[in-house]
Amino acid sequence: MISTQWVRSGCAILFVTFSGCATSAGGVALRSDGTPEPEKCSEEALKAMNYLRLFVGEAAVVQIDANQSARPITLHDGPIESQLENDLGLIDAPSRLYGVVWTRGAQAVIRYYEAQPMNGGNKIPLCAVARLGKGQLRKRPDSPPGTAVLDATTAAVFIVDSFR
Amino acid sequence: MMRLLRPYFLVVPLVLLATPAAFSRENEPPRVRPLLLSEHPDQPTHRINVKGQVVTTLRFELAVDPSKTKMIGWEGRLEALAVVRNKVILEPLHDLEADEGIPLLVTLEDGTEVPFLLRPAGHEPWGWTDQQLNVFKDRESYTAMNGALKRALEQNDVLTAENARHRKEENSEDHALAALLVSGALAQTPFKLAHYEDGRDEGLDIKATLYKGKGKAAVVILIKNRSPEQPWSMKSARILTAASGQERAVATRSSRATIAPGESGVIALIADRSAFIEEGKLTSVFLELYRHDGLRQALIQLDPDLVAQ
Repeated sequence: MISTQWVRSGCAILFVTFSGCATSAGGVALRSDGTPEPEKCSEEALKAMNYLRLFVGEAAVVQIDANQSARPITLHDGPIESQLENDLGLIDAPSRLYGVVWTRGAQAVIRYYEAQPMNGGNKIPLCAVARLGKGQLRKRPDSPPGTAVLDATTAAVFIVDSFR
Repeated sequence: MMRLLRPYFLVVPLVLLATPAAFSRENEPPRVRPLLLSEHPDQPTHRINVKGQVVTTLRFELAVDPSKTKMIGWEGRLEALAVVRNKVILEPLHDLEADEGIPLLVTLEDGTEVPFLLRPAGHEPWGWTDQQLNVFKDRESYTAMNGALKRALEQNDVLTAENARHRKEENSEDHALAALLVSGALAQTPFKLAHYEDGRDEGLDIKATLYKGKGKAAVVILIKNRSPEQPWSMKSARILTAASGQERAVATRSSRATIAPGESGVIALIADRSAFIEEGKLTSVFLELYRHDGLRQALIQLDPDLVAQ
């Protein structure tokens, strides 16, 4: 089951990830196919998104990994830094989005928990997921275990009110 | 199959090798080009665009001297020159490479030497094949004037049609929106990102973004031409209904007419809600994008929820 304490705060999830907790990336339990279980969006993120009028369906394009711009890119289980290519509502490009990648399923799952604007200020808690085409986040069959090799370098990020 | 198409809009930015590349050329009228010779030093050697196994005829006002008419380094590339009275006939065995050029010297019976350079027709939209070239030395002769006038009239027709199209597009709401999207002014439009695709083809990166607007759908396609030498340009775009294949209106704007090797360009397309209505019901439509040579470069399914109100 999901630890409610971790679920409640996006920061806590990131903290756990960064500290190298290996049991499951992001502290979220996994389904049998290796994809993460549903997860609630933290109250803090819901409140921040409401203030910023970031409603479900608001979307933008991101460079999936700020450190890799040439295809193919290799994603590893764990934290990821993505870069906005256009504005996500009031969050301007090229703000960074911090999230967590799960690669054990047939396709990579990326959940975002925070945005870092580039003009200073605090991180903004939010809930968003990466989506791309029809199965385009599907990892290449030659992906080594614990990684997802993708042919795309960019994806769309959609605001959600809960991770499903 | 239907199950797969359901959840989202299917974007297939893949080359579908259904249309032969020569398709668009074969339907064109014969290429007869008048050529006025000038003695001005600025005038470079005249180029003749030739294609493998297509006959090109040069027609002069005076008879040609066969003994002093020759090509250099043509062996294995072209059939031997044929000179018939005032005509020179060329036939390449195969297409020339982009960096190949074959010098041709034609000598007329009065001793005038006219140099030419044979070049491949090329893949650019303007890369036609010359089928007949009427060469005039005397600018004042009736046929020369007639040829020049005809050419000017043809150009005038093309420009008039283009002008009329521009005037029509100037006042069209959809073209205005397409122009905003092409210039990157998304914030000035009502469009919201609905779907995104990142694909690649041989020599081409295609990023397609589908937007939902107020009773309108928009598609913005970012194309990066990775080919080392081939420029890329769009011939046309059209929208067909999924069920019966009826063609519907689409407004298109491109950031540039031709995308040079290594460069990027943006194409924006706007479809009105009415394009999605067939027999009174909202239906899916296919957006097709054709490359300059007639190849279908992208096929994008647009689902009715893009124009839902």
